[in-house]
Amino acid sequence: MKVRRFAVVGAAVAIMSAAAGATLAYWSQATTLTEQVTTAAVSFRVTKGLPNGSVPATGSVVSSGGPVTVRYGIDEATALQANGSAVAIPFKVEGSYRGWKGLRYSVQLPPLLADGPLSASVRHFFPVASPAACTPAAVPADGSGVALNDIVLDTGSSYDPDGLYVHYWCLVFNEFVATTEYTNVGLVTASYNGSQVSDADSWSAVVDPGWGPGSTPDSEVRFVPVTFRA
Amino acid sequence: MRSPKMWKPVVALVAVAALAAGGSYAGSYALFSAEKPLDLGSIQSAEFSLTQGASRATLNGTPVAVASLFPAPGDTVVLERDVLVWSSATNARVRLDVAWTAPPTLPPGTSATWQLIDDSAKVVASGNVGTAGAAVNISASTAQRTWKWRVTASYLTSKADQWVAATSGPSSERLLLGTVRLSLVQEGVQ
Repeated sequence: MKVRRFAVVGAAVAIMSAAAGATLAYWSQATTLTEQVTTAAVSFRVTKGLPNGSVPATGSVVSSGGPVTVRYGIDEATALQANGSAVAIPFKVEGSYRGWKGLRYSVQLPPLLADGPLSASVRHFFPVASPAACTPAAVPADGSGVALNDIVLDTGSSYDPDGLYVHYWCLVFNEFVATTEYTNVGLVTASYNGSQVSDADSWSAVVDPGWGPGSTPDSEVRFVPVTFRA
Repeated sequence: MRSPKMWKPVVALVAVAALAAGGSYAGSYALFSAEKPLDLGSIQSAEFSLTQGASRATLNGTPVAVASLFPAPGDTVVLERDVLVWSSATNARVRLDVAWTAPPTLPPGTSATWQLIDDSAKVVASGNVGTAGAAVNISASTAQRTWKWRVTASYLTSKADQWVAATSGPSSERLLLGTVRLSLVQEGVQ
């Protein structure tokens, strides 16, 4: 019986202690907030296609905020010589500008160095709808293409924050002169006792500059991207 | 047969017993008594609550929807949410604790701070996101008061790594500002 009484007293103390603990808790109320923001992002890259071909999935030159410089030379010169008259090289320009209203870029074509097959042809640069549309026959009638300044990748009116916008460009070298012909004319005139005697002769030769692919210096196309909000 | 004399004490005892019992039942022992209801008035418990209200955001001071908020280098983003605070207990000491249950993750080149602003536009607590704080001695009020929980995030102008090698679209960074727990706590009586 003593044991039972002790147990009853212990339970009562426990209940009282619990009641006292609840009293000390006071009031408390909580709420939680979770916030996150998706930051702006810009990407701009250019991929050079194969001569008279498609644009590969790899090998693009990516901007880290500055100009993108794409080089060309030996492969294109080789294709030009193989074709004999012209070569077309497609370029793919991709850009995105989440958080910005748009992205514009300009294209710069430095002068060709006066060496190699490419320098013996006429250069054109113009936009096309697809790599397949980049052919020597697609050169605009005026021969040059568009003004190469401030090409807007897209505008705010069609702004899609998740979009990746694509432009294609075409670089064509045509009117290739593989060889030149050299003609030399010799004229001889003589005078003797009041009479003149003359004679002429000529000879010609086909001049092959001997350009091999290795003699073609690298050239480049520069794409300069700039984001804008206004 | 019993004697009539024997009946007298028995009858007397029965009478006394009956009187005693009857008197007790009839309240003969209650003496004077009067009753009147006492009006103690009513006791109303205090209100004590903390709830979230409307939220809003600005980008460089211009209101924008959070879903279309893409801060770029040089931008300042303010995320603000109403916090409805109510403690009507005039005899209780109340504070509002700020604790972080999930730490923020900020990309390099970004920073973020928090502020707790009371209904008089006074900053009552502040810190960098991820650091705890508290607003103490919150006074009692007769109605809910709208406080503001404000987070200000800034991008450095020189941050250049927003240029990404996207293959299928923008690859944005997530500016994870963490999860904060706001607790309205009674810490004692005044």
